[in-house]
Amino acid sequence: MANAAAATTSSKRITMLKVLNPFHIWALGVGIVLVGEFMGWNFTVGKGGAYASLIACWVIGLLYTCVAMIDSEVTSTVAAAGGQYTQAKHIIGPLMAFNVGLYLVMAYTMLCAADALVVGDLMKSGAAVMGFADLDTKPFVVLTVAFLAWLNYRGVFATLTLNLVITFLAFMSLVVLFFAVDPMNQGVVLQHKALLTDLPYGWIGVIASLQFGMWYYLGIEGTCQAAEEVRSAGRAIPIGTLGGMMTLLVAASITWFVASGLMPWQYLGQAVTPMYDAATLLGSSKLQLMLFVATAFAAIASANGCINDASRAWFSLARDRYMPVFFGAIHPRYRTPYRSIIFLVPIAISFAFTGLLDQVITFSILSGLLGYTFMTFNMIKFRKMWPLGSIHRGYIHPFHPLPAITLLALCCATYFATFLGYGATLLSIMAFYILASLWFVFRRYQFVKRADQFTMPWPRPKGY
Amino acid sequence: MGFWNILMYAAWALSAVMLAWMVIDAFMVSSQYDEEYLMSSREGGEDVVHGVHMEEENP
Repeated sequence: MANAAAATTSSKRITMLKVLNPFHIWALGVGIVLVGEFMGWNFTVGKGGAYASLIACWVIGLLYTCVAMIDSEVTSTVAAAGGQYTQAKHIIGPLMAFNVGLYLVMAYTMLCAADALVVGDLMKSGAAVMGFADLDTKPFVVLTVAFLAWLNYRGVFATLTLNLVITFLAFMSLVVLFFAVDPMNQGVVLQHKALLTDLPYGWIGVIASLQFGMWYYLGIEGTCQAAEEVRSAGRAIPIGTLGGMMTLLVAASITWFVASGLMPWQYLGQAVTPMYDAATLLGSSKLQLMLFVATAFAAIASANGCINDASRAWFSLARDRYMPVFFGAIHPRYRTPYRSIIFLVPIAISFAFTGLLDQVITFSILSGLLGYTFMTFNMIKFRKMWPLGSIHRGYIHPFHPLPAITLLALCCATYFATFLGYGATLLSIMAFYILASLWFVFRRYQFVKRADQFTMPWPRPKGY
Repeated sequence: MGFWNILMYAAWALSAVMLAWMVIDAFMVSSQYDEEYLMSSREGGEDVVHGVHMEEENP
């Protein structure tokens, strides 16, 4: 009788659709990041020269490999929307979870705004080439956010299938560009011997370049947000995330190799669209067009993934009453967190209308970095509270605790790099999160139903 | 009015239509379904099995 009642209650619960596979996870992670290979990564060159950029590419690649491994293990166990937020809630506690949730929402919403700005700027450039110099970018910025929000509203499967197609095409454009420069024959097209110089600002330039090195990979950790919508989290999240990380390491290396062999570091370090410039230097209008379209695809895929992730993070905060519970609703037909999606639209557009791409991106990067720092403590505590063998893990990352320690060391180096370039921004962001934490502790937490936060059927942690 | 001007107006119009569609649909859903049902999801969904205690599963 009790079982029948429970079954009836259970059947009345609404859930997200479990329709995604590892390819969708790959598309979500790589889709968010890939725009960073088309623009932004090259500011590493401006900070420390071409070799510094390569060092940043691989050192930050190591940072994100640690992030991907740690995320894959924890998410294959904590398979819920909210990703790192839910992990923090279960492993560390409510205040950490609130902060991590806020990092996620801010990072993805701001990145979405920046991507929409890029789409607007691309439209303007395209119009200028065709003889219309004064194109207003605002309608195209709004259209990008509105269309992608609409797509996200109507279902996760179509949203991430679109990401899969356009992300794959954007990645393939980098591969085509790589083969177009005749990579095996130095001196024919590529001029590395002539263009690669010593470190112009010494090793401090290399440290400074670490901050912009994050552009190569920023957002791959967003794969965790889809954990509640994949058919098999234990399989899809590790395969999609680690496969995505491998793709990005290849894409980042190709990007650096092609661009640094075609342009001097003084130009490359301040170029707005370095890969489009590389195609222009090759003198092929087809390659130019391909890179123009691929840059637009990469920006759209990134904005699309960001809307998906920001809405899941906001939804998860609301479901636990860390934010107004109104946003914790799921659409009965499309099974998406529809109120969270709508709520974030005006916020993303507002950030985009400020036009402050630099500040918006820096806020996004720092929010991401704070999240990665949390992961190190989270991972060590996770293995202590639930040692191997105590719960099922879809993936177990090797060499623990080495990846966590490496991640913490690299995060510290990147904080220092950020302080060198954006000290005031770093401190103001820290102040923002401290104020938000005070609000949560003294005002918001009284509304949280303590027991309702923890509904995963987990065993009691070791030592409790 | 040139092509680009028309394109700008079309972008504004299309954005307005999609945003309005989402807001209207959200209101309709709220009026047709019980709030408790709309907010009844649990973390991980209904078929969470990955957290099962291994000792309980294999006594």
